[in-house]
Amino acid sequence: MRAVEVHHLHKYYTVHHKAPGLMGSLRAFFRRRYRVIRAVEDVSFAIEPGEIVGFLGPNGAGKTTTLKILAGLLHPTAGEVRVLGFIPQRRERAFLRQITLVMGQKQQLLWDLPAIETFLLNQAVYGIPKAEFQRTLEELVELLDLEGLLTKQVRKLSLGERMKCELAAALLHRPRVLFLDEPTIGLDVTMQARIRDFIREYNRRTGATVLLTSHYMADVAALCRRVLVIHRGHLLYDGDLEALAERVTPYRIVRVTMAQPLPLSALSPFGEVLSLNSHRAELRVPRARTAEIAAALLTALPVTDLAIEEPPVEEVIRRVFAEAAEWDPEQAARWPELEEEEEEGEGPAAYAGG
Amino acid sequence: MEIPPYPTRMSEGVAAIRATLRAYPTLLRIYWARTLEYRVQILIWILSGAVPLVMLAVWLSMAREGPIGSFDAGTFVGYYLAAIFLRRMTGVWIIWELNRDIRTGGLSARLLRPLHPLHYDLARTLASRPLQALLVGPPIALALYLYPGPQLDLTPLNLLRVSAATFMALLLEFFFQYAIGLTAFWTSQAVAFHEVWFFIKALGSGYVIPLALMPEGIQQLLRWTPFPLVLSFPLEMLLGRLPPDRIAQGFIAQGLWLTFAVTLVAMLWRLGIRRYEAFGA
Repeated sequence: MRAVEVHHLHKYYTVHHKAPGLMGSLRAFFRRRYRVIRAVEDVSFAIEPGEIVGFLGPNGAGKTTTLKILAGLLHPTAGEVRVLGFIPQRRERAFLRQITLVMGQKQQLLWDLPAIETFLLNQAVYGIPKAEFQRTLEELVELLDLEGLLTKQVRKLSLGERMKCELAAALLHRPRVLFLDEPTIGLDVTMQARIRDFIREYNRRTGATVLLTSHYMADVAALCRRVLVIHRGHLLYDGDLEALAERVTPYRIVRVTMAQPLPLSALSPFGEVLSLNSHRAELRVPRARTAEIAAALLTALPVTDLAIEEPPVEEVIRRVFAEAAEWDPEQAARWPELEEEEEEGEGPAAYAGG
Repeated sequence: MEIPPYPTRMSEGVAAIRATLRAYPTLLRIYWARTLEYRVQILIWILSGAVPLVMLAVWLSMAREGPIGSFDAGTFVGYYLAAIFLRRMTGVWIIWELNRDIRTGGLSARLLRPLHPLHYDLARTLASRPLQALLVGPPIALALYLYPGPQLDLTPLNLLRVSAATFMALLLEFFFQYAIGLTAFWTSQAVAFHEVWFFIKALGSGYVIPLALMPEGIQQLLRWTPFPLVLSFPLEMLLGRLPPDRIAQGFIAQGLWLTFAVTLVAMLWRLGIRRYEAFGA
């Protein structure tokens, strides 16, 4: 059985909208104008047990909507969804006991009490046997370094400490499927790395399936081999992160350190020089010719060190979205409203299923 | 940290009820702890006794000339002091939080846990009773003891009946307020409904003026509403002012209104949650 299956998922919202100002309010009072927002359109994918999959897309792309549908909070408008064989929207106990949804922006911890109280509440609500609860708690305390935090009032914890406690609260029942929506939002770099390590370790130890969204490409690059790229409700790409990089950024970065400083003119024949700082340089070279150019560099110049790197993930993603926007320039011009637009045309097909 | 396989469904309903009951002791204990954190709220509980005390002073100055209706000075003292205590035992404060949870999406986290969200609010409501009784009870008891005259029916049977009626009153308040809170699924005005409910209840439940002193027509009218059942009914029973047939009628009426309120909540929940799932929050 697959952990997650999504077939031709659609989610449309109807919202009323109102012109600004007094007259606008008055008009809206008497006659509401409705508009359909197509948050998710014909999205299909499947996730195998134990996979960690990154869900990428700009704000309003439909990531959170999809996660909420998978967790059973929202009804699909059309299409079929299965998580561990369950239909999420029924929210059966057996289903709820095996999943968790962590939203970085929303919290479940009781604000005025120490986190341990919320943990005990969850123990009661999920009916976790005492011994199992103790064991899981000890493990989470160790993995997330929660020692000393559990008995402090939640409102006195720092944002990062609170997020760690939120994660622990969401995992006490040992879910098999984790939906993580921006789990590192607002955290500093050290804490982001910590949460990342934890997610990887949890996945390794339990074999749980993880679907995560993040604005921080570092999260995705570190955790997910496979990514889903969603844009304006359409799935643009489903597959390997590296393959995506190859497709949209047909170049690589070559970093060289030289025995002595060289002028720009000595380097530019080999590729586009991105930076040159006395005896360090960064070149952008065509992907297919990377090896050949690296060899040429080594023979022609006094190179002491050479490294070949993939372009940064941010760059990859930016290109995916930029290319997606190109297939309808008129819509691209109205970027802030993108999620609300109707979409037709060949654009998404160019990437879908890749 | 291996994941134990989940036992596939026994009877989903029975399992749900069993799990809910098992969760209650913990729910109550945790919300009891939370109650103790809100010290300002505790102060407000104590100060809110002021309204009946002011009313009592007014009536006492009027009753100096002689009894008003069936109330003499001693009856007034007993009535309002007991009203302060019973109000603390039946007062519910859930609409504001329910409204906020629905409108800001805070409900989502609860929907994803295998316990109906109503139970958190019910447990919170129940868990604050012991502290309120502890804080307001002794001074009221002392005042009743020191002030000669008030007659309360403190026989064990009556105390048992009053306790039962008070608990029913609390449940009535809870489910009616929950129904009002659920209107937040459709409107941003749920809190306004609460104010209407609160205002009518203050008058209709005997909190401000004893119902027995109201014009006969109004008393008749109120008999068809749930309002007297949330305060006046247990209060007058405590004062020993209700004949046995009125007591029986009161319990039946409480049962019927509670059934109505629970049904209403179930219905509004089903419709509302469908909307929530369609639009999200």
